Amino acid sequence: MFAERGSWVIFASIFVALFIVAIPVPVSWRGFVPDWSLLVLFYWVLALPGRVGVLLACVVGVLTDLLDGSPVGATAVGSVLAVLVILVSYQRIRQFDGLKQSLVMGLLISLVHLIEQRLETFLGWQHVGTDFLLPAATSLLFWVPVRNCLRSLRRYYEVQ
Amino acid sequence: MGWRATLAIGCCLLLLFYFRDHPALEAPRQFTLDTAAIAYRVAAAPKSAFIGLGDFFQSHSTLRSEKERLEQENLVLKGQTQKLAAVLAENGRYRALLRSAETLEREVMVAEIIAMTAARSRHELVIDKGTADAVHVGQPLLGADGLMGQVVRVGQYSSHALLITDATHAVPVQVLRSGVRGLAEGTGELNRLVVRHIAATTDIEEGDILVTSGLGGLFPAGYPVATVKTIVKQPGSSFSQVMAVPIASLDRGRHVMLAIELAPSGSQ
Repeated sequence: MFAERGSWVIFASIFVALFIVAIPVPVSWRGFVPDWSLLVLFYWVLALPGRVGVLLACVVGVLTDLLDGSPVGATAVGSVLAVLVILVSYQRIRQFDGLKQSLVMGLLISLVHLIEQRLETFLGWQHVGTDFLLPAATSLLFWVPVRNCLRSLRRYYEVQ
Repeated sequence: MGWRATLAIGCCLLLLFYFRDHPALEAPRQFTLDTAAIAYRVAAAPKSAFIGLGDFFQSHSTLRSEKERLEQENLVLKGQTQKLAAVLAENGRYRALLRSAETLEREVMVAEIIAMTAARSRHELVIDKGTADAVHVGQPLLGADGLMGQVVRVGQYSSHALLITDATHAVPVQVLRSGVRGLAEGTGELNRLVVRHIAATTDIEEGDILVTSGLGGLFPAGYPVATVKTIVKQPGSSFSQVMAVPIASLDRGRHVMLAIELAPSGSQ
């Protein structure tokens, strides 16, 4: 997948997303930061399912974990499973309108966080309440702009 | 697709459950920690530059009044230090009288906060000192006003510190006024601690200051931790619910101090 046309666009967009995750925000906003890296990953899987798959999902998950200090692998397991769901049903998801797609993405991101939370609880972390699902709600709002932006990038650089 | 997914999940689970604290992966762990710290630094660069620009263009009069304020503060602090020296000497004499075995002297090292990690469920700071500056896991982190937390992971040039308000953190404390001991646990909220194991009949009041008790040997004794805010005594329950507010401002400031333990001294 590295040698194919426009691979750098995929990697660059994921790196930009990871950087945006690392930008400091006021403490009271922290719970609401959308999962940019997951949104970007999901877009590429949806657009190029033959090319972007579970291995990249695993890498993005591990990088996200390294960045935010969670136990390495906790987000990765969830993102691999979510990407599997997209790979199985991408034809159907592509037919959905913006609202339905956003809801699906929100559900997938909450799946990632639920799995992450379960695994971390196994390892002795303690989560309070259901706040860990808030980013899924905000990510859902940003799905359509992220999708449109990446779609025009993909068309401009002819990534296929 | 199937075997790749299985492989990926298998690798993640291995990383999570088998290699998480494996000594063989210490070097990559430190490397990734430092890389993440650099990423945080780069991501925060526009903000820091903006703050730096603001500092640069501060007006002359603002700087003058700032200088005046600092001079006054310095004078007051100097006066207090004089008193402190006298108290320390007196304390030393009392210790000698009591034949106390040893006291630990502490010094501090200043570190800069690079970021607060993005994980929302955790209260962790990234600081710019690592094993290269002899930072080690478990080292207490102090703010200007009181205890902030402890170092949990170290890289070579950066480390992560867990704040006292993190839901997994607890610190042994003692009421400054009465000496009653308890355990201050984090709640996951930045302005709230819960003090456990306080019997309903215990001498504790709202407004009491909690300091580290030194039990457990991790934190040095006597550093301010929190102020008691509310005490709820439920009829029928043998323990009271004590809520406290951390004294150190955990979400402000750019610098923290790391307590360095020196060799035991003053054994008399």
